[in-house]
Amino acid sequence: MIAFSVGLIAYWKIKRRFTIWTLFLSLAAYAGAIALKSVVQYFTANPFYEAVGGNLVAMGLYVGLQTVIFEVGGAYLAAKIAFSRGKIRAYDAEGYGLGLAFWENGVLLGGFALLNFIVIYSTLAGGGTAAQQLFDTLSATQPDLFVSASVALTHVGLGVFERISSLMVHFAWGILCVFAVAFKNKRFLYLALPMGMVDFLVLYAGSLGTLNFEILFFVVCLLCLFVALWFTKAERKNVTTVSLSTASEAGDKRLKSLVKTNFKRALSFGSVYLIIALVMSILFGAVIGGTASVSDDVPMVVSQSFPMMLPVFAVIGSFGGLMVFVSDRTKGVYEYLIAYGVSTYEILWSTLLVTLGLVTVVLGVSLTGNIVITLLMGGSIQPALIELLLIYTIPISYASVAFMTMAGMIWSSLTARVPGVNSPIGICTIIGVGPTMAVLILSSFFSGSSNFLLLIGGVTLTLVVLVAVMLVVANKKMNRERLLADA
Amino acid sequence: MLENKNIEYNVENQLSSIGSSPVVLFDSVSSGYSGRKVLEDISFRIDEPAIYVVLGPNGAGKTTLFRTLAGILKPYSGRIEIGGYPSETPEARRQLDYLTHIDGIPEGMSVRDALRFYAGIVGAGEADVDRVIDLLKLGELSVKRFGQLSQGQKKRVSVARIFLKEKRVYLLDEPTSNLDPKMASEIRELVLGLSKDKVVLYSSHNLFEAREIGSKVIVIKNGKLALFGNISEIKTEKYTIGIRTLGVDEVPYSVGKEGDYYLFELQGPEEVSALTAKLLKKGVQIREVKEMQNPLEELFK
Repeated sequence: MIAFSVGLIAYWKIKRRFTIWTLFLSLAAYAGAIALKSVVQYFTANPFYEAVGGNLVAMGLYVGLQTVIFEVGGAYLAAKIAFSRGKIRAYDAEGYGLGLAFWENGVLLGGFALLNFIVIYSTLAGGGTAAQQLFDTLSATQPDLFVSASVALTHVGLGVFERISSLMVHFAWGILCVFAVAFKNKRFLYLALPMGMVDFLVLYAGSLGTLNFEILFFVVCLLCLFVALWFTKAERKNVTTVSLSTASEAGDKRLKSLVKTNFKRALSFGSVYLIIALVMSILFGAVIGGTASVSDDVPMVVSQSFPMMLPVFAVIGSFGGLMVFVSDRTKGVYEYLIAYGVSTYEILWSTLLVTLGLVTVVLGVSLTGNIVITLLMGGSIQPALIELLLIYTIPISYASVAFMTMAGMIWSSLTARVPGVNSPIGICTIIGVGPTMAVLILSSFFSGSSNFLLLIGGVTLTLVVLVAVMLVVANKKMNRERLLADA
Repeated sequence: MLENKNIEYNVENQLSSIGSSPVVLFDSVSSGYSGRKVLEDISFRIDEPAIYVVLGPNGAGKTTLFRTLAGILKPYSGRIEIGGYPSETPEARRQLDYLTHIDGIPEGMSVRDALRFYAGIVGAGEADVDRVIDLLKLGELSVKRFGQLSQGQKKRVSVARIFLKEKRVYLLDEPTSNLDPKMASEIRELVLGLSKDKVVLYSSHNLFEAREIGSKVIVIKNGKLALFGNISEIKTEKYTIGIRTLGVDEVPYSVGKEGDYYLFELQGPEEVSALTAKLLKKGVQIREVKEMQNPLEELFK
């Protein structure tokens, strides 16, 4: 399902265009809707259930209307805001719909499920007491995981069938929402809104039986797709004959050019930091982690040091991106870029992408190197290590570096050039390792893996929100003259 | 001397005199830095392709004018349009090229890579990079790092950028500063070539250069528009040039000597060509001609 969702995105990218902006816009609309639904359900689901006495029609309406309001209404609202700012056009309608479908099926349900299965099966494969305990728990709570292959295949088939249905309906209301905005035609919105009521059927999955439910769900979703395509036939025909917006296309090319060039420069500018980060992480991981993996006597705190400290090395290794930003600002490069129509947002966002690329290099090289060395030393990769890497190291690394980079760029822009520890690089060392330190310190107050997961999730989410807020505020409120070279 | 009637230039007449969709429109624009006004209530419109020389003493607001027009500074008030589009829009930005006194070349790049970088930003291709390398005679320098170049060579690279893609409006802030006379002359020739069908705003401190390159002038004084009109409207009381010669003790028409330079007092820069022709006729071998004092400084006292 993940491959199918990603494949559709790739296909659309080649056939038409699929900008990163459209993908992010659909993410904002989808994630916002899911978050709001979660909040509403957290406070009202149980009282409502008790109030209606578990009545299926009432509960179906309760769930369906939330989808109508938050998912479909939210998709319309996000499209409207983006359209008014020239960030999306009728041409992006299908891409937007595919984006909504991708975030639900490829990421929220597909990606997270895959992650969960990796952790479960790697733990089970590791054997020992932990594996037995997990097996016992899962056998009781999720017996479907241990059915025979033929039964499992039926489940998988039905699961994929359901996700295809979901993909069709998200795609349908995505197109209608964008067309409603682009053609200023509310009729499209009125067609899209009832489609959210497909979730009404979910309540009947038990009473109808899985197969009957999936068939009904598929037919309804197919009908939604048909309605969307039928009623937008004329508009889609016109839209596909319209040439690409040169402004939007030029913007995409500019961003790609900036990211590509500056990534290479960041590798060069920050090569010393990158090498230090890679060498340190490999030494740290190979010596401590490798030893830990082959010896049962090594305390947990030592065996977990490598994944816990890797975000710090990711921070160090990604300094190059910020160095390019500071250099370009002081050399007057941004004066030209702004004159050529590059926005503050593009400058900040491209630097952010460059630094996240550097994090990927640090994590990729370090993890690959450490795994190879550990295996060569006769050790094994423990499931707990994989779990820690997936739930802690990778998210915290990206979030910390994004936060450090945004803070550094704003710091650099709002202050005169200062050498030494007060320079962005000096300050950012402290800012960048802050989240890691916060997690390490706070983790001592949290017992249990679920609390630890909550802590990491909270810190990561806080950082992501802070980065997004800083990006928006800097783009809107910071004078462009702040990006000029100091007089 | 700039006459008072020119300073009292009537903006209203100028704005209302021509039809719609000017190439450049500045309507009651005030702008500056961090809330500090540098330009105040400036209005002019440009409809015809030509070189418009922007003159003004240091600190008058020439660079601020360029930065505001280029969209780098957001005006505090007023309206700016490029080709009929509000200056903030991508349509306006696409019509405009900009050259400031800062090189703006990314650190650590070779000349070719720097031009490629900007080509990627303005939507030009590799063929355009090759073309401007030939045009500005940067072939031998193209593999060198920008930081290794002399000041003059850096300026050539910086200037090369504006020829990467054809635009409708060019803002050139002192494009010949730091260039040797030969290269400066070649750059002026290229700019003159542009002016046939483009609007070029060209700032300079040098009245001689201004007269050589442009016929229209925009004079900024204390952040206000002092003159928008023909360059011939600028009158100077005294225009002194110095001529350095080769192996001559006596030079006719000279009024004195200052160092190696024989001094000549003229009515204005337009008389320089006639004087040098007469001297050459009399067998004087001329090595250099220069303005002995900047007439603009006197002009703006």
